[in-house]
Amino acid sequence: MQEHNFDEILDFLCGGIILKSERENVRNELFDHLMCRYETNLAVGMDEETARDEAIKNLGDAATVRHQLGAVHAYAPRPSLKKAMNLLIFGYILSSVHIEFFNGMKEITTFIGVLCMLVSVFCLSKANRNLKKAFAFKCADYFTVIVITAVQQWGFSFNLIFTVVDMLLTFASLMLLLKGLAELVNPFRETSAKKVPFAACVISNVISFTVTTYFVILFNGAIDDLFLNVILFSVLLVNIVITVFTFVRVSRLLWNSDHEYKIEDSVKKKTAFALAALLAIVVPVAVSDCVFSTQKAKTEIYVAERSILESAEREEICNNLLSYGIPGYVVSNLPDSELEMYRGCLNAAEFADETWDFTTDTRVGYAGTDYSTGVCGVGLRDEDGNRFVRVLTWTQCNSEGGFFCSSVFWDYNEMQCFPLNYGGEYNDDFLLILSEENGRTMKNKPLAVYTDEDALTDSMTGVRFQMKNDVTVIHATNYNVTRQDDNRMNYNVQNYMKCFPVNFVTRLPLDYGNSAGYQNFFEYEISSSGHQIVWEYPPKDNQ
Amino acid sequence: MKISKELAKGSTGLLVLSVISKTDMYGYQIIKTIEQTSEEVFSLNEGTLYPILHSLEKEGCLEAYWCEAEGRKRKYYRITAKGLGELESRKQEWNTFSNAVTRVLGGVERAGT
Repeated sequence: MQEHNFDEILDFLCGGIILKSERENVRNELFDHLMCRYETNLAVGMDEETARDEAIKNLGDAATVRHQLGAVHAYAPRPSLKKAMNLLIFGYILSSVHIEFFNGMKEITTFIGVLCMLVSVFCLSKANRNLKKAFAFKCADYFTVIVITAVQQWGFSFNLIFTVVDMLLTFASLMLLLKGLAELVNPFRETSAKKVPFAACVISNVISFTVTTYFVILFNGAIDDLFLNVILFSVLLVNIVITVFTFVRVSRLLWNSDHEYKIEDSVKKKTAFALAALLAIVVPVAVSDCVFSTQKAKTEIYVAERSILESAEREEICNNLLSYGIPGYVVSNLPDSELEMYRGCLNAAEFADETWDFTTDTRVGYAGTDYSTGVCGVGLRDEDGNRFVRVLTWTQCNSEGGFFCSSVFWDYNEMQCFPLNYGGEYNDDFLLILSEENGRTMKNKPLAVYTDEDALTDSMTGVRFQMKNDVTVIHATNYNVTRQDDNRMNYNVQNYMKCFPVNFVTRLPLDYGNSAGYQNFFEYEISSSGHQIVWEYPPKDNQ
Repeated sequence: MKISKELAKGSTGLLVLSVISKTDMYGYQIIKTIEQTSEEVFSLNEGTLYPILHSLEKEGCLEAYWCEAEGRKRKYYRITAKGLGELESRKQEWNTFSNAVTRVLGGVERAGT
């Protein structure tokens, strides 16, 4: 008697056992039993056919035995298999559908969604090998997300590399998950009237992954073109729908399989340990992120001082400034605290007598875009006779005639620039940042400054610096003072248009509009107009 | 005399633990031993023995190992320490139950005489 004579009954009896390994063991055991009974029956004189039939008959009601074996060998990690599928569906939707009703909501929902998927895949991982691999890849994916958060400030290249790695891991874990689920429902697929669209789900995810990776590499996620945005959105949406539909079908199939799932105590501990390990990594990262991003940038209130100059002195300074061609409305509205910095300034004519080549460049220049902008170097001499230049800039900021002014001290001899305000250094230039905090204008020293440079033109294309997350930056500008080949000095004041505040968790800009997709604290673009702000007219407290 | 299924149902686990406690056995052997020892009072549906064995194994009352016998794999069962404790517990439970039934039956008989 060969095993295949009992194949049909063994297949039926073991058909309710989910795990392949357990199914094999029970099958072998029952085969041994049937053979023992068969041999006994032969020994008492039955023929082969009768001995076989009697052996099967002695097993009792096959449906009852099948049901009982299936119930005993039901395998469900915590929570039950059906609950794990529900958690998987919930987590997938949460991590895929990005909604933002408040700042940071998208990141929070994605984090929770990924965590739900991680727990659910962990619960499913015991069922078969592919689900175990899916869990491993999901863990790697989760850790990559944490690393991405940490390396954001390292620069665009690091961000891109880790983002692509994260996408690969997400894709791989999903494919293994689908393969594992397909194996799980395999015993019930043929008997089920409703099929599970595994093939469509795989194809959809392949297309979605390809398209998304292409856009990330090409545009770093920031796409201005409406048509391309529609394509990307459509692909992602269709993929989400198909994948969720597949998961729901799998869940229903398992539900209708009529298994009673047991909970194993050891899985409780393993789940608790896994979650504790994850928290042990996430909590320090989140705490350090909070500490780092909420460090108080060094600030100082800028207050227009009351009159501290004698009227005669004030008049002399103003006249000297006017001699450079600085508009009267600028000079007349400079507060004494600013005028004081020009104490001892030279008249333009006196300055012109000096044999400095750059004196011809100390002219008022208007960059002029929407509002008038000007810059002027004013000659000064200190008590020791050292010559230096203080650069005054101004720009009209609104149609009511309000404007901003600021100035920087530049020592011609030492070839150094000393900003009047706190500044962060980069490339020997100076960055001045003005922010608004609690209705007050503050001068800021940035916590860190990073630059991006265009390799082709060797010009700076952007500056990133960290600020406190609750600081509203009004303006940021850098001074660039260079000596040209003919010894003329070039004053270049670059204005950074305020872009976007960021949330402290991921430091993502709230609006990708003009940020070129950089994920950093603040992203600024260089504007050709030159104005920077230290002082505003009219002052806010007088409005 | 055949015992009703309901009456035998609750005793099967006890019987299985009891016969295995004496020596390691495989499924068919367990059935034959119970049949012989009970003088064929207990004649189990052979198929339903295995869910019971597997359930006891998952509970930790039995542990199993495989051997080669007659050219095929055979699964033997051995009682564990937990199984022995469970056996004692069920024996006490059975003794309490049977003594109580005996007392009640004895009371009925006394009234009828």
